[in-house]
Amino acid sequence: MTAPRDLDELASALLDGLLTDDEATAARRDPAVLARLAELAAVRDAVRRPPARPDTDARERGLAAALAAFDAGDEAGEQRETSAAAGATVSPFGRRSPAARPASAYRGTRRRPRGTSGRRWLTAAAIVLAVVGLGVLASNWDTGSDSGDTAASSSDDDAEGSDSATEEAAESGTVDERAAPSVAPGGIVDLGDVDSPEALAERAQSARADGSSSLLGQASGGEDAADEGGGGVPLTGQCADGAAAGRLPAAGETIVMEARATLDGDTVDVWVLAADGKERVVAVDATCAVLVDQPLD
Amino acid sequence: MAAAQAGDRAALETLLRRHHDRLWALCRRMTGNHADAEDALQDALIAIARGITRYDGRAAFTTWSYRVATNACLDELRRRRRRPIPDAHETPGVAPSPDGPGGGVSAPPAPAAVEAVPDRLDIDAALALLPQDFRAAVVLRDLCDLDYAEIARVLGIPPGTVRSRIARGRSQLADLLGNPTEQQNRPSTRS
Repeated sequence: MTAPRDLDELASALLDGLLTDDEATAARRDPAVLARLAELAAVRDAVRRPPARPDTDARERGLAAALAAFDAGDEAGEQRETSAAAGATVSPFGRRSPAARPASAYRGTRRRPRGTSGRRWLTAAAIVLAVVGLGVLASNWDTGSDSGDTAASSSDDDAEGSDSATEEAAESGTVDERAAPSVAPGGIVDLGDVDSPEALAERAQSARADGSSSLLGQASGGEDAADEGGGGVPLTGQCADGAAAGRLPAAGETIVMEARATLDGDTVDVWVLAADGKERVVAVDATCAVLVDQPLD
Repeated sequence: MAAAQAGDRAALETLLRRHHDRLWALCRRMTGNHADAEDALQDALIAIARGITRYDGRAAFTTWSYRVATNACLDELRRRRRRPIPDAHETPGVAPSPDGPGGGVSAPPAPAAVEAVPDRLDIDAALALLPQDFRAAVVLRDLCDLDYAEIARVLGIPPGTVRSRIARGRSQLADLLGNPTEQQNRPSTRS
């Protein structure tokens, strides 16, 4: 009698013609294999059945967005390798491509709101606000101005302008320089494939040593950035049900690097968090389980 | 292909149109619903358009584009942080029916029980319950008709793992499609 697991593998292999003639003949003598073969064949036929086609408008929007990206040439994107479209060096299974983010600038259709990206835009806007605000304050300090209200007003205006520029960039396919940091081209560092948590920590440390850090992290000194969890995107919203991940970063911590890696074939989000001059690396899988949490030397 | 790589916009458009439907099918099966499939496909098309000049021809364009689309789908699912949600209008078999065995049969029983299995429940509903790794392997094999070596390249995993994932994925699908009650009772991971 064939064990269930072997039965599935045998029937599946038989279905795909992977067995030798002798193996196939032997397999076909087993009624259980034949029965499972019929079931798997029915499954295959169901998967193979073409799904409903997209509507014409959606199809044309998608094609138009792609052609717009082609036309634009994506000068910024050339500085980064797109995981999905880098020829034979396509990123491993499931990894989010950092370069895929600017694609939104070329999309011809408004996508549904995403909590994560929305927070990133807000965070970036907060950073712009903080930086401009500090600049104006410094300027006023130097000139002896006591117009704190003016400084606040100026920064508010600038922040609004940044948001508008961001929206306009998304709609028009151009990226305003003022909004560039929010695109965060280096925001997510690709750590590649690793086979152990220790290797992942080493890879993260190397990336930090190489100077990799998110733009958000570099700018995370202002109060507004702190409100956003230290400049990066906190996991709280993404992992509301995740006991540990939902509390990252901890109070007072700053996200100095956001990365992704493939750990034993599974894509994980990696964060380097800093507080009091010390850094730690944390890796969280798709289920929000914390896989790695250890200090960096 | 060569013209598109050389910057010929019309050639690229022709190429994208030619491959659009099969990429759509992949995205639709991977994501489980129209809206996410549209988003994922759009990302894939943009990635192809931007990466066409760097495509080195070491893999067939079809395989390469499947890889692009698969990554886009997985990215989309990651962004959603949940399993795919099948479109309600495309899951006629999911609605319980008092007339059918297991409470999930809405179509008349087929002459052969095995042939009826996939008709009891929508395939998207069953695919949605598979782990992403299994789903990608099964879809690339059974929908896209890639061989094991190609799937291994697309997913970046060894061929032996491909074989295992396909077998286990098909097996789970067969069980799910054959046990609609069990499927409906399974906890949802939707967040």
